[in-house]
Amino acid sequence: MLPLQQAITEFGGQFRDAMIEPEDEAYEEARKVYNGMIDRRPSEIRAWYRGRTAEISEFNQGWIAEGVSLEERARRAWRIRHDTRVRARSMMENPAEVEDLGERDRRLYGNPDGPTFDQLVRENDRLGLRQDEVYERIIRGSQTTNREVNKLFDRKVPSP
Amino acid sequence: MSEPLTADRVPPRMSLDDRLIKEVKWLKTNDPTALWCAQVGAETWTVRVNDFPEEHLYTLFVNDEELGSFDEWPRNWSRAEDVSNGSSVESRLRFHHRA
Repeated sequence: MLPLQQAITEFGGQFRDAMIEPEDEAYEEARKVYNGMIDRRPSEIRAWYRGRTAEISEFNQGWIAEGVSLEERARRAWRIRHDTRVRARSMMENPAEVEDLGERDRRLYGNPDGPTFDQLVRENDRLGLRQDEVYERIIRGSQTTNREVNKLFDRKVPSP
Repeated sequence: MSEPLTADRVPPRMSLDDRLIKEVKWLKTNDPTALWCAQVGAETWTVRVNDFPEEHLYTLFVNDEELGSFDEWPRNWSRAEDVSNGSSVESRLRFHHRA
């Protein structure tokens, strides 16, 4: 069995470009591209986000074909959009801007990452919708702009 | 008698781009989405934070009129963390939720 450093050296020698190790200055920057998650321009983040949420419709069709229940489909759709939104924010370069988004969501939903699934169900329930209409609305909302969601949560923050 | 205000005498309106490079000190508000406000001369500016990345991150309003949206906080804009407490600026804020 080779000593570790010798193994690393021989492994790195197999590549055309230099291998970057943790102690290298370039490591931190290179690390950011791991698994495709890089700090991106806002337009790139938006394009990525829209690409991901656009897939929900296709997923939903597949779930329907598999016989997944409406409630479960709504949960899955919500989860994809929610997680995509969180990941998109992790790509942002300016922490103050991320803080603004978190503060906005805290004020609107009481949660820095946006409304939970249960919150969406409760708010839609208040509209007097049938249960199936609530879940369909959540699935649609996961694929489009959040204006409908925002309407449900329109409220003034109580003055201190 | 003062001369009538004709088109050539109307001062040019400051563009969004010009406002984004202007030095402005912002105060935090209590509004759910219009998180920042500032008094700039005779104008009340507010910034609404939107649902990024679905939408552009910020929208600038001047005297309640929407000027435009953008994705990055301008370098010349500074923020004060203290919440405005019923100042004249705060009291003129509107609730800038989208319809």
